[in-house]
Amino acid sequence: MKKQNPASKWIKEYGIVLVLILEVILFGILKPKFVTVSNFLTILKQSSTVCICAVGMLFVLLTGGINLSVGFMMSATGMICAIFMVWFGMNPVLAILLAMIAMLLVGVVIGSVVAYLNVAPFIVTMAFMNVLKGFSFMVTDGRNISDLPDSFCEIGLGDFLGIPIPIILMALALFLGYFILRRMYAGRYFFAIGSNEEAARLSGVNVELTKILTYVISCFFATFAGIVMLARIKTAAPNTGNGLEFDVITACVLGGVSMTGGEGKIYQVLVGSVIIAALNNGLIMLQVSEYIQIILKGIILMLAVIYDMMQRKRKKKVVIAA
Amino acid sequence: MDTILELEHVSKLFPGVVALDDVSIDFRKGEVHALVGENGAGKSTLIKTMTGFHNPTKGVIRYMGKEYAGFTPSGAKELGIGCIYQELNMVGHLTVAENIFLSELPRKGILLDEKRMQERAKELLEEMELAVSPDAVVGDLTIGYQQMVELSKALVADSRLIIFDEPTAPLSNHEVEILFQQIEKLRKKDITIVYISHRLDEIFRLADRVTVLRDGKMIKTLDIKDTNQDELIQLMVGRAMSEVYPQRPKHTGSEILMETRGLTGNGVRDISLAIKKGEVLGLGGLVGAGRTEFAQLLFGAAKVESGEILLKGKKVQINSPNGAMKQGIAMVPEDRKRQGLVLEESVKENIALPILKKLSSRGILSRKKEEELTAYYKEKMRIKIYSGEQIAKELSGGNQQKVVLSKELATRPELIIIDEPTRGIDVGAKQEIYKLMNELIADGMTILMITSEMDELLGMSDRIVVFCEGHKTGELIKEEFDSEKILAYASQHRGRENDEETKSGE
Repeated sequence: MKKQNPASKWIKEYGIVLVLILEVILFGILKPKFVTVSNFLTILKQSSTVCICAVGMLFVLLTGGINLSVGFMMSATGMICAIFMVWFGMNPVLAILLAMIAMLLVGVVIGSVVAYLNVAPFIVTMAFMNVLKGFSFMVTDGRNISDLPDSFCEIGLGDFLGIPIPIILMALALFLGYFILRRMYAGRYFFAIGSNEEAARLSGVNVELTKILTYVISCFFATFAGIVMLARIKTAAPNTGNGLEFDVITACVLGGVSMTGGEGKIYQVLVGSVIIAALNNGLIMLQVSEYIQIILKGIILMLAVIYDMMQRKRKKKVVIAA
Repeated sequence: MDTILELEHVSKLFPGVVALDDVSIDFRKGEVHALVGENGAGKSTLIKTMTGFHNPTKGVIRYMGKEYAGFTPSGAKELGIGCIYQELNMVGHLTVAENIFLSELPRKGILLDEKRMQERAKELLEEMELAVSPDAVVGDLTIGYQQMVELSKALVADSRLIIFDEPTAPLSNHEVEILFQQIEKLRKKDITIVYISHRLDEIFRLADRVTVLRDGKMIKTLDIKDTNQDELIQLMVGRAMSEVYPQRPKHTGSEILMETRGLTGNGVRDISLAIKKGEVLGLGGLVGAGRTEFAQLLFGAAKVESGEILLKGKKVQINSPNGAMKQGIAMVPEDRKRQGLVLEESVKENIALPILKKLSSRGILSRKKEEELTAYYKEKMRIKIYSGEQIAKELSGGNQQKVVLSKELATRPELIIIDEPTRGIDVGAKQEIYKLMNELIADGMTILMITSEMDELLGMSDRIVVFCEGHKTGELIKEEFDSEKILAYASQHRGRENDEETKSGE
């Protein structure tokens, strides 16, 4: 077998962590204010919504799918919660629960269309992205809802033992994702399907049901993220989730989750999300325009995908050589 | 005869591996030169060196007397070295003509000269005496004809030396005949054929000379008329193979484990047969006779249209592989890399996959139970791994097959369907699989074996059922075993009336 230099192996596995460190050093040189505990907490807070949502996206990507509807699902979640709480004076817990149920149903529908009707996930979820977008604008005719109850906003603005609650929730989501993927037996199914669907099916795995499950999980985390986002900005606006699916997918791929399925780890989702949040944060400090930020993020996604493909090719070569 | 391609003291080193070790071979003009060796003997590396995908670390390649420091894939092609790979490089949606001329489409200015392309393709196919229309879509052709299209591509490129890498593995007997006729034609045209195959009988039929490789070394080049199968096997494995098929006690019981009555669906029609407890029932027939399709019905991987399956006398409904496993049926599929294993995952994860639920409590997987399971099967199946964490892809074919067997056995089946138990496995490992199969029978298990290798069918079965074109055409008990009889059944299809009878009976 081919022997690998341990250092190069380490870089391959954890190289993305190095990227994050380099990013911090670079911004630190350009803007010393960047390297402070309070700014780090801000970055983590800012990464929380994308990261929570990316945990769900990981499940979909693992099985070789994609979910573009998560951005506007966050919007729709915010709108539903806000309407129930502000217009109907409903208890926040109940409002969150209702929004969650609605979005999980959307997940069941998306998953069923993908799994049973074999429609490309890209198309199905793009369709639902528009459905949810239309819905978010329709319910208030495009207007925002503010004046959310303070008890609800605690989720986004409060802290516990000095740690902002969004960061705690992010840690919770990461742990939950880790637990399902690595501790529960069903976690193996996601990897198996993404690597070899046929073998998984012949091993008795219910492939259709598992695929539906990934979309339901992804919608669960998207709703979770939507709630945190709503509580952080204290206003429900139909357009808040616009383009977030892009950040979420970029975070996953940048972290090292494969677009072709079968490979991905929870820590990669965290690192990818933090890199993006740090980039946003640093660029704002440097007063770079928002439009340039969007361009940069697009380029980063492309580079990450190219890197992913190059890794894959190299692996193939090693196999041929052996 | 003149030498066309000559390798002189060629070595190829990969980091940590010597893939080719001082290999010297000469290929003569117009000969069929077979290359044999176990998996890992260096055949693939040798092909890749000859076609320019690898450059030798040491040694010289001489083509038509001229020395080449480095081939590139396109350079080798230009020189006239063609290769028909196991995995065909076809564009399934394009037509035969388009595929043949893909690399040099006839043009009229910037436009495609459709007419000329059609004409040239037609001429070529006629010359090859192939009954294929140039307009046919390649994806619709059988693998055998796709291979012929690939061959015609090599001919268009004016190849003087064509390498065939295991060409008959996916073919039916009829298609094999067509291939052999083409090879004869090439030989007459003075084109050199390098023929790689695991099937020694083919080599004795076709080849002029044979070179044996072992562990990356060239062992010997022999004139085919000066050697025999036993000698070749001995050279390949480096030891004598006294007995390929290990003995086991004669099967005597008459208790029926599983029975099908008029089973129809997935391309098979009206199959009634019984599998006795504790026997190896061999399913013989040509590739495409419907044996795998029949197995898929039993395993719930395809839908039954009509007919019944009885398990221990009781009628059962099997709708999914999972359902089959619950009834005590397991299947080792035909293609272990595509269907049997998740190649990127570890041995441990592969073995545990079908029974993850059983290894868990309240949804949480017990890693300890998983380790124990792997350790148990590593021992029982004699899997050569240093750790259960080893990735399945890294294992040899024989070891991979053992992992697939383990994973199916983990479901504790009573009946295990094994589709092509030793496909693509080298001779030494084959015997190991046969021994394991005998051990399973000794443990009280029942095996339904599908195989396209006549020797294996005769050597391992207690009883044989023969399929042809989706029908059962014959059944033989051990005393009647006879390869000619089986072949006769396998090519005797019962015609149309029967199909219609079944249809009107539905």
